[in-house]
Amino acid sequence: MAKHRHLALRLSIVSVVVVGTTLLIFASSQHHRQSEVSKPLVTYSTDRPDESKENAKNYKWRGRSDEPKKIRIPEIGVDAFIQKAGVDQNNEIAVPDNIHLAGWFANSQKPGQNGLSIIDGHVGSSTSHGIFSELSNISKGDMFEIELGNGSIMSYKVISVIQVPESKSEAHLFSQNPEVKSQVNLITCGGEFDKSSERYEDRVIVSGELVQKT
Amino acid sequence: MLARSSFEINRSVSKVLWAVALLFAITLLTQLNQSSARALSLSNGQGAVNMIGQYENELADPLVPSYVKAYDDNGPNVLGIGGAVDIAMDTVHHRLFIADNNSGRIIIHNLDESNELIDYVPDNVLGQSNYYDRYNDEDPTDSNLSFGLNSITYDPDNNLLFAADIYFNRVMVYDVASISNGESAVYVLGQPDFTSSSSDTTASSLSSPSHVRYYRDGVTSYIFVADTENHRALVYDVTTITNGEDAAYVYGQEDMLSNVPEPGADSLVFPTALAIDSANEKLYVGQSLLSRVFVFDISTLASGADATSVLGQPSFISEDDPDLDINSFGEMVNGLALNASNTHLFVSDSENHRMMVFDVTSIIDGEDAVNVLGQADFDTGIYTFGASAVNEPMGATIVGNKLYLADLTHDRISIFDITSVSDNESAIDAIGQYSDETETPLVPNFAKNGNDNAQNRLGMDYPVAIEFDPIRHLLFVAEEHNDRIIIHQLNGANELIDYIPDYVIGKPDFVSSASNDDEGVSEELTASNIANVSDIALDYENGRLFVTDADFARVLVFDITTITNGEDAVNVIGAEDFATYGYDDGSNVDTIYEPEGIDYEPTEQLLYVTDQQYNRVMVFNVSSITNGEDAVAVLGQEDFSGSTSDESADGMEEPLGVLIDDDNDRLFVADTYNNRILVFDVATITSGEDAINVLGQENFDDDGSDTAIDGLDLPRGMTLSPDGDQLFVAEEENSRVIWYDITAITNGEDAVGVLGQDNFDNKEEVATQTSLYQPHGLSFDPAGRFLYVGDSGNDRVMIYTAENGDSDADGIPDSQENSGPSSGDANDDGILDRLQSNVVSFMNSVSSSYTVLEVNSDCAIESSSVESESSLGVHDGGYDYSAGFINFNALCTTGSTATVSVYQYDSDSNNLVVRKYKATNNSYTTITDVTMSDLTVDGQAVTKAVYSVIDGGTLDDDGLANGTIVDPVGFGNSAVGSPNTGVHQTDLLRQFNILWPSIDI
Repeated sequence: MAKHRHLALRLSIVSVVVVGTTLLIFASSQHHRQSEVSKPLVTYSTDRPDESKENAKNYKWRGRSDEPKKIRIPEIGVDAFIQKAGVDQNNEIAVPDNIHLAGWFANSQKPGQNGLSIIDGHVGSSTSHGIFSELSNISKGDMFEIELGNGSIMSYKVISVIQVPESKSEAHLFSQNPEVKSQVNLITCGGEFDKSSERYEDRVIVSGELVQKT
Repeated sequence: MLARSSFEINRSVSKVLWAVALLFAITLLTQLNQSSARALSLSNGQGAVNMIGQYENELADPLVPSYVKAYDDNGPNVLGIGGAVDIAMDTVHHRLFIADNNSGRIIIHNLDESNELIDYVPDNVLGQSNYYDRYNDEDPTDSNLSFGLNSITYDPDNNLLFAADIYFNRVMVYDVASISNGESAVYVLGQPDFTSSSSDTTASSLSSPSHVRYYRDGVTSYIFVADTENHRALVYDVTTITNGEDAAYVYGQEDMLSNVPEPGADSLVFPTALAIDSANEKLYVGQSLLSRVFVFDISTLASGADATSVLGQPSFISEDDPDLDINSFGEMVNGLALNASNTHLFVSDSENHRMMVFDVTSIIDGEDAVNVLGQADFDTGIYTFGASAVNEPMGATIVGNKLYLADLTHDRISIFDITSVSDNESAIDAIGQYSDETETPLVPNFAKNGNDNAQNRLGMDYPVAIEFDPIRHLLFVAEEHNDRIIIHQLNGANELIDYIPDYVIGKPDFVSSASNDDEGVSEELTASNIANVSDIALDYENGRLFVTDADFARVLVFDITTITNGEDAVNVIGAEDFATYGYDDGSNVDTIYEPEGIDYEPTEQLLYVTDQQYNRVMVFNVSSITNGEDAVAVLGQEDFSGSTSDESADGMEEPLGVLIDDDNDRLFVADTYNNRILVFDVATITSGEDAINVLGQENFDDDGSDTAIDGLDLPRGMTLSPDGDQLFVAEEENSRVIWYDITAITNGEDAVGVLGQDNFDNKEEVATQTSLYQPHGLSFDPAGRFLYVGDSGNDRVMIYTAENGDSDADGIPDSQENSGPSSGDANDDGILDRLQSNVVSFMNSVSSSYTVLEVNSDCAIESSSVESESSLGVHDGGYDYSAGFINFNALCTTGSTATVSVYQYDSDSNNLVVRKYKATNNSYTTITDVTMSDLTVDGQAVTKAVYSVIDGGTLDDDGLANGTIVDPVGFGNSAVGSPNTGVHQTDLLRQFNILWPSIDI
């Protein structure tokens, strides 16, 4: 049985290499990919984030016990580590250096605290879908959770899903519902990709209200 | 000598330390026990926070001061009458109408079913919108009446009230089926419309119409109008009325275009009174100047008809001079009334202060009267007081057995029982004069005769001096025109308890004015009566009140250890005794020809009194007083025999104010007609010594008046600031109070502050919350928290908060709001911010620029503050706040919506959003429904944001619909952009992802 597994494994690897090479033929970019290990705090937003799911899966999370570690959104199949994100070179919230990691804006509140916590994630890369590619498919009432460094789980219920032009997105991203004590805003890109600016025109923002701590 | 042991040394040291500590404690306690010299914070043009003397409604509880009233003795008011001229009665709907021409109004009393007075409180007013307004030279409108109001009459058939207004040459017609205060008239006669007022001689015009009476003939309603200056009586058909309609008939002239008075039975000369006998179809027309009454037969109305009888003259053509006799009148015949059976005619003989009663059952021309009211007999025509007095009687009306008479000079309606008339009988009741307007029930007072129920308890007339007794907790206010001092009992903190004075000195009670005698108004020379008070001084340690009594050339000294209304003085200075006029002796050592300013120095018990006529200040030692004692020194003259005026360092011209600065041995003299303040060193006094400094002039040789920061114009009263560092001066002619820094005086130095005017160059004479008009005396309260100013010309005492004055009580001191852009109108709405409780403007400590917060005018801002974002519970990671967060509480109607406007100076709206912070959940929210704009105010860039907050709504921080809106708000500038979470994609890959979105590589 071990022989068969090894053979299957080798065949799988070959398939991956072939498909990957094929795709590379279609890629026109001269840029190389990020392939280094993701940092504990990202302060530079690369336009070529790591696309390795494996790397994301094996992300060495480092943070305090009350800082967010993982995010799970069952509705869209998200189960990933959360990287700490600062302010990047463009004075914007930095994006994770792996498209399969989420990023917690370290200048926002920690999930579970009173106030607003902001978590971003890629919609996709040049070749792959990102962690939040399906974020716009979330609906009000859906649940998601954030695990902290100490293992406690913060459960959130989605209270709004909006898509707004990028120019108006800060006002919404940094706004908390006055009736909600603890809120998380998830953000990713949406709408059309503007080739001239090389940016998506919109942002998708999902707001969740903390409903349970365990 | 043995060396002291270390223990002993230590004990010694310990003792010293204890002594030092004890000394320190004693010093500290002493400092705490002293009344603290509070730092003043009065700002230029600051508004008063309270006021004594003018109220909207004297019957209201609590009383509400009115800053827009400025009439003596709290007039006009609910109870008083300013000029009683006529009465009408509606016996069907039970109402009494009184024409009051001093205010240009008609007051209406509801009566009981027997047409008797229910109470003395009127129920409605016409001609003015309320009881505390009076005609003030406005143009004619559809509702106002002027001081020319002279007569009224009621039409019971159409429920109309007609009012003759001499000044506007018109008769106003009011629908009184139901009455709203100040309602508009429905028609006008004598003018084409309500805004015209010219006089003319036509069928449709009038010239000084002075009397009106209603007459019903069958089915036709008529109004008779005494068209005085046209020497005629017009008759209008008012069955239906059109504005400016033609009269139907004219009496006294041959046609509607004539107005020449000629002798004859068909000619009227200055008709001023009317009465109509409907039963016998007779018209009575009283005529002034020729002092007669014509009687016409009006069974058939006919223009130009002859009179049938005459009273007051022997014939229709005689022109005997007005006389005081049984069959003649004085020059003015101002009222006529017939008794119920039309057998007797009552004639108001105004000049002779009487009503003549004639039997008109059958008239013999020039017949004698049968009775007289108001005088003892027919040979007397004097001005009297009391229940039987009838002084300048005007219009009258008789209902049943009651005569209602408008007594002009007594400002009342006297009510007589004429079931059987006796000469000089007393009235049984009166409307318009009461003993005490603050008491229930009201009691008519026949001894009073001031308009608007003056003198009274609540009002003032020209308050000129203010003093506090901190020990007995008393406030003294001297009123020059009421010749009295009213005294308020204060609470233990020397604050006003209420607006009702508790005692009066100088008069026996609150309602007495001058003493009454047969000659009319004059003052009695007694120990208790004050004839003309200008200033007062207080020796509270010994319980003595010093009062200048200029008309009697004396200073009265009252014992105030206990006070009785109208008490006698215990001593007199300047006169030998209480029955002697002081100035009989001329200028010498013991007389004060015209005492005006006065002050008491407690250390050596000296009394300083200015003598206006002799241009000097007299100094008396009052440690113990002998009546008429000599002065011990004089300033302004070389010796006691001098009296000339001068503008030198040792001269004076009519000084009217004096103030001792005991701590620094300085005497300040308001050298009034030299328009300066002289400063004397009085450590030792030498008669005739030079002043050491002068304020208001550059040097001692100048005396010009000026309205400027360094000038004066008729300075009067003075007081020191609580810390003694500032001298406050009330200037009569500049209508302001200014103050100087006197820690070191430079001749002619600038003042440092002004009240009553917006700036030093302004001179307005109005009645508002921030204005003064001819102020005289002033004083700080004993705690130094408030400045009381006798605002003489406005007949009130204004009270200013001296600590961080906040005129509009919005929590921001006037000083801050005054310093704002646009000369203290930082929101540029044309109203000073310090006067608007719905606007706060202040220097923003975070931005170092001005911030203005405004809510709608029916809300009031209770408090406001600014804090930086960093001081809040949590940092906003997305925005910076260069102007911090503005917190405010606004009081609004419960559940209402407030419109909030925020102005931030030195700002532009580019990239700004309005954000709200909520402390309870550390949330920041962008307010989306905001109108942002950029303005330029006073040359400065301003960002304005306008949004709405619902009481109890999402943006109301307390979350309660409770009438309080709590709203912390800030202008946020984006600090961090949204993340760019979508990186570069090729077209092919994008297509691939679109086609196979689920395939991940």
